[in-house]
Amino acid sequence: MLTGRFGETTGRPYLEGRVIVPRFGIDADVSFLVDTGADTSLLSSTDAFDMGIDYSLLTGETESVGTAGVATNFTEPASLVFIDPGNYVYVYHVDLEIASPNPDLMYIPSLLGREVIDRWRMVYDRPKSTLSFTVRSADLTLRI
Amino acid sequence: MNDAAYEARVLELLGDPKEVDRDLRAFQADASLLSSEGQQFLARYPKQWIAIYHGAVVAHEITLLVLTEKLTELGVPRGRAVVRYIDNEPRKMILAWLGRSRGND
Repeated sequence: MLTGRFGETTGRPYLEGRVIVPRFGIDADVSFLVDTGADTSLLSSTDAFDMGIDYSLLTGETESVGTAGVATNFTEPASLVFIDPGNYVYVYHVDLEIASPNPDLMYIPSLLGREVIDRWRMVYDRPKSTLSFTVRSADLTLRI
Repeated sequence: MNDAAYEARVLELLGDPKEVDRDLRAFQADASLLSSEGQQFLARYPKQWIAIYHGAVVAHEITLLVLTEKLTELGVPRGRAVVRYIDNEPRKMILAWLGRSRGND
């Protein structure tokens, strides 16, 4: 089982995982906001900067619609990694959206979208501070 | 990169599952401090970027660029620290992210 958390000050649901971007040889750990309203996962520009992604090398520019309007992103093949501590490592191959740098959106977290969430069973119990996920499928499952 | 080559590269970058387990548990514990110590961080580091690594705030700076440089100086591996902006005027976020799928449901 995967275990997430609720932010104390915001109450937002988070799950930590690892992002691997093979083309750039990058692997970095990220706190994802669990977002069932997101069609796909999105790497925030802050996390992209922190992990050293070179925007000049990104291609695959796309437009996505958010509540604040249309945003420009880049699409990059990547893998998202989550752990069932002491038991399994689960890997998901995705077309990761990478947010373009925007000073007004620097505080938006990375989003874990439905292309991954749809492969889990989620328990969201804020009164009991329980956020957990049972994995139904993964692209790779590795025994720890 | 074909599928087999892609997967081989992912496994190469992933490394030993035991190390992934150890590293991600440490990262989760660091991120949990944002939850458990959120109010203290708000009082100590308002409007600053902070980095948490191995259970402690190892750097706090006004800009993300300077914070990243500081982490490099400290020898913190890139992508292993929890980096967050401590906003003393938290913004309400209403997020939805509609990507490439098209539909009218």
